[in-house]
Amino acid sequence: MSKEFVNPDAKQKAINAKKHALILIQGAGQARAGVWSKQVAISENFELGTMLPQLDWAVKLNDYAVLVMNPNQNISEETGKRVPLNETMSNHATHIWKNYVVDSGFQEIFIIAFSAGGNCLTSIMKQNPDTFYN
Amino acid sequence: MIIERTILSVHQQQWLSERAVHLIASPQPLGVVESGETTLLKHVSAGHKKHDYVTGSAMPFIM
Repeated sequence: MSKEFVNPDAKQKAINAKKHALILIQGAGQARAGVWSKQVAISENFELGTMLPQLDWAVKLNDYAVLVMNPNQNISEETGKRVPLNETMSNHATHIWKNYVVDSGFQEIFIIAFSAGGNCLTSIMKQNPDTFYN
Repeated sequence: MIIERTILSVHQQQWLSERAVHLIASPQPLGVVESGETTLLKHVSAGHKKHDYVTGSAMPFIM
């Protein structure tokens, strides 16, 4: 994620208040952060199968802050156990939203949610009605 | 993305329907509004028949 999301102090929030941000939420499956579809990325190209075009557009062309969720990394590769607070796609999304997005203070946030990423988004909406619709 | 109306208030439904679209796999060209859907969000063709291609294919429409 862009540094603007990480513990923004008053000075950073003043900057964020004039900026836009883009949040990307992938669908379920083997794909990890940055990949829309592993199969499309391999069999077609990165332009269609990964988030690189959206990142280029947001960061290079529009100076947006970007946050890429990683909702499928639910099990630790080191311990083999569920990652606390990230046991499910929705838990990951709501955890990230609560800790990095709610207090970020951006002027406007755009969200692209693919497939089961839409379920993550509805979880965010349900758990954060006071902030999501502002 | 299917969003159930029942989980949202009337205000929330209106807010969302004014700001979001549901891009779907479709044989129609990119950006064509699909009819016949009764869900909360407007359904728009992503310009590709396969679900996995939706986000990448719809990039010109999204951006």
